Amino acid sequence: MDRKKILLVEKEPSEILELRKALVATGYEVRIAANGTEALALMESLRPDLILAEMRLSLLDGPHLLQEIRNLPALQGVPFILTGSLKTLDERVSAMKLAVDDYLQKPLDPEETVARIDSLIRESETHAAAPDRQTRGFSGSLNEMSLVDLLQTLEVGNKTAVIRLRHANQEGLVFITTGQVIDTTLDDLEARRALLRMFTWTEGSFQVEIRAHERPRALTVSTRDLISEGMTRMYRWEQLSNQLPPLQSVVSLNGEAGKVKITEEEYGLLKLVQQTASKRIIDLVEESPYDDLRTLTVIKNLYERHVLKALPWTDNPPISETRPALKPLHKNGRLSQDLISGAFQAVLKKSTALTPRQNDRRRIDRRQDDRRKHDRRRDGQHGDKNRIFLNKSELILIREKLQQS
Amino acid sequence: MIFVMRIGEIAILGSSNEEKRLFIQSVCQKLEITNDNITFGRFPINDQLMLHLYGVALPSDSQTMAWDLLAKKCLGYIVLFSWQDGASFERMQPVLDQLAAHYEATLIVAAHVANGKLPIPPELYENGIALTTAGKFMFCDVRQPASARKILLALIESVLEKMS
Repeated sequence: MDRKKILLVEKEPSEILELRKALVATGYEVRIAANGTEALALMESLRPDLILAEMRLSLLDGPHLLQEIRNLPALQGVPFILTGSLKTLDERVSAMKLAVDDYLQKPLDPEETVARIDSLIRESETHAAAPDRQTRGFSGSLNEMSLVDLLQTLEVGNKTAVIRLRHANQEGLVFITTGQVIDTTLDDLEARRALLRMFTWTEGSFQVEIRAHERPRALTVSTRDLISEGMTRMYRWEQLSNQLPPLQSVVSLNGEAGKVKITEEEYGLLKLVQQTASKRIIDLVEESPYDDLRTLTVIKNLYERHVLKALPWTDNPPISETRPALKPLHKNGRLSQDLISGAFQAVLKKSTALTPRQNDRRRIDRRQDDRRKHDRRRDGQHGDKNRIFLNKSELILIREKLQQS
Repeated sequence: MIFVMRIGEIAILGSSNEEKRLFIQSVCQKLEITNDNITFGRFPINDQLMLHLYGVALPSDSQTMAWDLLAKKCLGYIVLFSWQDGASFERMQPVLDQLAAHYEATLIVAAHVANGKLPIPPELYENGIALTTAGKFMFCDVRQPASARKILLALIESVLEKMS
C-alpha cells in the first residue's frame, strides 16, 4: 500500500526533527519545505495527503499558503494544519477566520501531533470513500442548535446544503441554495408550513450536509424573512406550551364541554379529539387543518375554559374509564347529544381501548416527558448554570472587538 | 473543512420596549426583527463569530419555561431600566429576583440616563459597581453606541472572570 505523504512547512526545520522521526516511524512519507513558496512549488509533484504549516513563514506565510492551496482544485480537500504560538490577537483572529482543519500550539508534541494527523487522514479517507466526495457537514441536537440557528449560519456563509431534522418519529428535510431556503419536505405538508412546523421542534437531532443538490425552488420568501418569522413563532410557541400540560398529554372532552359556546375553529378541533381515543395535544397540532400556532392557541383557549382536559401521565388510566360521556358537536357552536351519529359512536367505542403498541408508545412518551421535566427542574430550579457555548478565546475576541468599536 | 458560525447570545430585559430597541440598535446598528415580543440584532465579530442580542418581553409566572430556554442558551443578561423613572426599576425587581433565585446568571443592571445627565461623577462608575458576584450596575445612554457597547463589554468581562 502507498505510504501517505505529509508535507511539513517550517522555517526552522530543526524544530520539527522529532516530529519528522515520529511520522516516519508511523509509516508516513515526509517532505519538508522551508517556506510557503517552496511548499507551493512542491504541491504539483508531491500531491501531499496532509499539509502542516507554520503561521509565520517567509515569502508566503501559512494563511496565504492555505489560500493558494484551496484555489488548486486537486488539493481543495487536503487536510491543512496550522501551527503557531498565537501570542497576538492578529494571529488568533487569522486562525479563526481561516477555518483550517486544525490548529496546533507550538512547541509541538510529536506524539499528539501524529495522533492528530492520523485522525485527519482517516477522516479525509472516509470522505473520499463516500459516494459524494463533496459532502461535508455537521450534526447535533436541536436542543442546543435550533433550525433558526442553523439557517442563520448557512445564510451568513451562503452555503448550499441539505438539513435533515429528526423529531420524535418524524423526519424533515430543508434544502438550501447559497444560503436561501428553497424547499422543504415533511410528511405531505406544503413547503412553507413544513418549515414553520420544524421551527417549533426544540427536541430531536439535526444533520447538515454541505453539498450540492438539484432541488427546484418552491419557496419564494427570503430566508431572512423566514428566520424572522421562525424566531417569533418559536417564542410564541414556547409561551403557549408553557400555558398547557406537556404536549404529549392525551386530551379529552371535559364535563364543561356542553355548557360553553364554541367557535367554528374550536368545533373543528373538538371533532378531531372525538375521532380517536388517545389524541395527544401534539397529534391535534399535526392533524389540524389550521396553522400550528393557531391550533395551539385554540387548544389553550379550550383548555382554559375547561372544555378540554388532559389526562395525567402518572395514573395512565384506560381511556374508557376517564372519558366523559361523549357529547357530539353542533355546528352552531354548541355541543348537543342528539346529533351524534350511530356510526360515529361505534367507531368511538372501538377506539377506547389502547393497543399494546399504543401502550408502548405512551410509555416511551411518558419516560421522555419525565426526563424533560427532570432536566427542566435540574436546569431551572437548581441554578441553571448558564451554559456558555463560546470558549475563552472567542470571548476574548469579542472583548477586543468591543474595545475597538 | 467545515464552516460553522459560532454565536453568542445575550438577552436584554427591560420594561420599556423602546429602550431595549434603542440599545440593540446602538450596538448592532440595524435591527433584524422588532415587534412587541422580541427585538433582535446581530453584532458580527468576524467571519465565524457573532453576537446575537435578543430584547425579550418581561416574563410572567407562566413563562418560566421560556426563561429556561433562554437561560440555556444565553451568555448573560442585561437588565435595563430608566434612571429617571423609579417605577421602571420596581417593574424589573421581580426579574432580578427570578434571575438570582433560579439561575447563576451573569448580568449587568444598566440604568439608562437620557441625554447623558449622569447623577454621579463618571469616575465613580467607570468600571461598573459590583452588585454581587453575579454582576455589575452601570449607567448608560441607550442611544449612544459607545455607551451601549460598554455595557456589553462589561458583560463579556464578567463572563470571562467567571470562567477564570
